[in-house]
Amino acid sequence: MAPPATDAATTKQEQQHAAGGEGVEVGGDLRLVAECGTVVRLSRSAARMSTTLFDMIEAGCAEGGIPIKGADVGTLRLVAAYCEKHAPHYDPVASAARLRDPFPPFPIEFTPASYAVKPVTQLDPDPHGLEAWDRKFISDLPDNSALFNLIIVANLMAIEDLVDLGCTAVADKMRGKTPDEIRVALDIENDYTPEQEAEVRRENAWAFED
Amino acid sequence: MSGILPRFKFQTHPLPLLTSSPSIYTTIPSPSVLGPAFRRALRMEWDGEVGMNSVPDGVVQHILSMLSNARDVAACACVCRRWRDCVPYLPALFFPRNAFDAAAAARGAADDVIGRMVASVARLRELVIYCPFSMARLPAWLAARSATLRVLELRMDAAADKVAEGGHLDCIGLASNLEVLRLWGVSLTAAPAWGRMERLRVLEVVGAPLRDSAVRDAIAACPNLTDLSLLGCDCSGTVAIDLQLLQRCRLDILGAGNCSLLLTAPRLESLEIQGFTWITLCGGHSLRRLSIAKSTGRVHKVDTGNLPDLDHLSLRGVQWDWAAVSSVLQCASEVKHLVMKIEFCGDLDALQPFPEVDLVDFFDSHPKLRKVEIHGAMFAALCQKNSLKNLNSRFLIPCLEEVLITVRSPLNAEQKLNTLESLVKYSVKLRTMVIRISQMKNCHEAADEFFEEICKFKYMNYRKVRIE
Repeated sequence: MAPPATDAATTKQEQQHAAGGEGVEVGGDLRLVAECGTVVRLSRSAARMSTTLFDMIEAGCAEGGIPIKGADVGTLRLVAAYCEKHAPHYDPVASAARLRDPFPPFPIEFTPASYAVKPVTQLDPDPHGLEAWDRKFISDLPDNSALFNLIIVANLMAIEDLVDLGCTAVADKMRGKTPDEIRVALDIENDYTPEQEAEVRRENAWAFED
Repeated sequence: MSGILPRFKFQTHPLPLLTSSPSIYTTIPSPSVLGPAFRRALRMEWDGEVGMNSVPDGVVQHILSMLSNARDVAACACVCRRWRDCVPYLPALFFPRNAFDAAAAARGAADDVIGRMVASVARLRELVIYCPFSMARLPAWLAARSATLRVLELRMDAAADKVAEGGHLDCIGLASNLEVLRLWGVSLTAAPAWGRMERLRVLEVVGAPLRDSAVRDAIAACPNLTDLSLLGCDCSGTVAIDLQLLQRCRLDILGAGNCSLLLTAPRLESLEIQGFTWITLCGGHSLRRLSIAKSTGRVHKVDTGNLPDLDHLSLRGVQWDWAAVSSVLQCASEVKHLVMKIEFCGDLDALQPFPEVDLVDFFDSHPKLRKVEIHGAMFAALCQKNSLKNLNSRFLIPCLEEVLITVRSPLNAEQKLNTLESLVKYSVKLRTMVIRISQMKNCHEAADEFFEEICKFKYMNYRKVRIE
């Protein structure tokens, strides 16, 4: 048997060998190559979530290693984990519509037996436990750097859901804070000149000076 | 098999781009385990700090779009120039109730700030104002953003200058591309001159004294509504609504008068109404959820036509004509979830109990019932006109899983216990039955005996029956 493609993710190969199941590479997983050369495998169904990879699969040029420029192994692995987890329940149309609306309708509470104007079928809001998994996924990231890396790579690979997830996490870190606090929390450089800063603060003072 | 692994664990990839040492951390993150070892691995593999500054502009834009609270938007504008340049492209502005409480000159300052922020967000799609503001300034704001504004929600009762007539609402017609409009505390005695709002899909008006003619004219201006909600309104006379695309409708009428509803909506899926005395529904064939209530006064007539898709039916009120009740129940033969909370029947002013309803007939004509809540008069009316011996041995209540019954009076104790026993006996899928005993009217022995009987019943069926 020809030596399988060398990669650090050999445990997955072990599993495949152990299962005695699918062949090592052909028609199976995609191989994403990080900046440092390490390969991260991604199953085809999970790769559907990335528009870039999906187009490549359709065009038939997804064989061999796919270099992801600017991505380090850790982030690629996180992205792969996210895609593998979400792939079975992925619905491209729904994901395009969801999270595009920053204003969900405000429910109106009235007595005695009134409900908000909701769709008729009350679907379970988190039927596959994905939202809970996403929350844990984000909270397990070690620092802001990891989060931004994740967003950048997801953006590169055009994985809308993951970009939204990351951006929501960053936005949540900004809510309710004064500009100084935001700068500290997200390590942002202040590029205002003192005069500009004074002017803009004057205009928006109502928001953060109680 | 085991011989393969150590050889490839440390090999590097043959591509020319390879540089740094290969990772020795070979575990693939399984979805449930992003544990501390893995996190340490991540930290070791990154070479530098990546900050917000290295995130592309489009992504910064996307992040800031998730903030809609006006305070957050204002704070972000002060953080750095790059963020301030994103502000014109934000989609939404929300001014909460207490946005300006702290400001010294609340009223004047609020209007200025709202005006300035609306002006700076050039592509504003959604504007929600809960804080006090001046109606006189609204036309300017709407005119400035009429091309892009899609969602507008206003608390009018917070407005500083309330005008008696609805004339000041005409300016909403300036936002001709509006898709969602929600108004709180508005007063609409005359129809507002909105012109034709072709794109309006959702209209919610809460707490306004509406005249029927005003309702009719306002709705005529919005022919493409899919969601209509008129709550706390003060109508009298007839409310006639004809909307071909309507899917969800909520109407709640205050006032002691007798109001009649004529609703034509062939695509309607969910209807909740409160306060109408005569109800006529044309085109209910797609209806999935129907709730009719009247908290004071009487319901005389309900004409819905056949409801083949109805899943959820709720009938509530103090007094309904029996003809109305039975006509709805007949039309809703496929219903799965039924809530009945009607105290009395009676065609005239006299309050009467329900006529007898045969248990077998009732469940035979509603075979798909899964959940039933029966309060008040309905439970007392359930009986078995056929004696138990004559009962067809193949009678079953096939789908019933949950029952909630409220018992108020100990009269006809034997009949009620028979009903409870039959429900348990013939419901093959019954999981829970909850019996609420509330406000027993007669405080003498009959009540105590009845209560004892029910407790006995409960002990015999303890797995399914519960008393609250």
